[in-house]
Amino acid sequence: MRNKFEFEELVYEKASVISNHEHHVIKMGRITATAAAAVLVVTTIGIFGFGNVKGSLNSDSSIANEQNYYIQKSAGNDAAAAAADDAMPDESFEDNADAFSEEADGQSSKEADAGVTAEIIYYGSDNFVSVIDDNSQAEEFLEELASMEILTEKSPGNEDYISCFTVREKDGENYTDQVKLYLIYNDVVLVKEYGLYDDWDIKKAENYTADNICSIELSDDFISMIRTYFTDDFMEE
Amino acid sequence: MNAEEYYKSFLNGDKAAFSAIIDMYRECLIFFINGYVRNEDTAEEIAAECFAELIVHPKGFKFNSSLKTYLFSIARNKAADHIKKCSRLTLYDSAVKIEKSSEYIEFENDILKDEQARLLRNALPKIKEQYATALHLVYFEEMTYKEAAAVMNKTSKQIDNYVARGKAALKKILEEEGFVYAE
Repeated sequence: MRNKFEFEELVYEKASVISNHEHHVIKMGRITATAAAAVLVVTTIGIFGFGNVKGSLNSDSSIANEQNYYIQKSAGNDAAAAAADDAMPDESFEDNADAFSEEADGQSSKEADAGVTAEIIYYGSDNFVSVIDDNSQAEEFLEELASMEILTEKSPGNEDYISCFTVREKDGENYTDQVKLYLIYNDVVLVKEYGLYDDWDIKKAENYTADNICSIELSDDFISMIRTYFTDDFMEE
Repeated sequence: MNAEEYYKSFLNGDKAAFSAIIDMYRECLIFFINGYVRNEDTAEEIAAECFAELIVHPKGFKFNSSLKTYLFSIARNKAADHIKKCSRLTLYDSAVKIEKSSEYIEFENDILKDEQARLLRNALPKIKEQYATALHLVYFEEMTYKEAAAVMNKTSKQIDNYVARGKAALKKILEEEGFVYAE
């Protein structure tokens, strides 16, 4: 075993590795979202709307800068820390997460006005891991998604697709502040969790194929509603 | 200063404060994780990742619980993830032989202060993981049910049940092994 000082070095090494890995995932998330916009094969749960998806992806650049700030500061690199600090936007990630959650509440009433029957689904992080790792639970999860009328559309002649949906957890009768954004692109699942673990995770969904994702039946009204959330800004991005 | 105050200090740039946090929780965290992974090197790596989370995700901890609870919660998730990735071990797998270094034995002795604690620890791998984790947190880490619930993402009532069922299961095992309770 390492002594205390060696262990501390290991901690900083791990921090650096995690930070670098997340920058890569963030970049990948952007590529995914851009590709999705380009081919108009975007799926999202209506309650949160597409503007929120965009906001969430943007907020991750602030996380990257913030991570860099703390790592540099911890290592005593004041100049580098100052540079990372400058790169951080005024709006914090936490503020974004709060806004995300508040906006979600607003979207809920908007959805009701539109007469669309989409619902929020509740899944804890443990369940989600199971979804990805266990085929039977993955199927169950997909069935549940299908019953919720979540939009999934496959671009004609294009095998690529993206599935985006957000989940708020529920504790008893009340919503928690755990809000998650899931992006499924081909066989890769990106998970964005807000709340206890502000963390990107990436999982290989080996048991998923384009066909079984896209077998979900969708109502025209729901598809139509989702498309109203596409903004010009996002399309340009 | 307590751990939360040290962490605030670290976030303000005091690197020594982070060393103090590591001092406080390194050993008990490795000991806890080793209950899952049954390999002290792996446990040490995962423990380091838990501390690294405090650096990389400074806003993950909201200061509305104890830092210890937060660290143990991360540790449990990471240990479970590790086991899933390996897919060859089960939680608290008693069939896996543990190699212990002298350093590990030293701090294990600090935690397992008496023979009863040692018996309890040795029997934990023989009961359900959730019972074992609840008992570990409550008895070795001296967490309240509420704190253990936060670590395990359960309610206090569920922890109460786990502890009661865990104790019943342990009693049965110990009796089968010929353990005689002191009068």
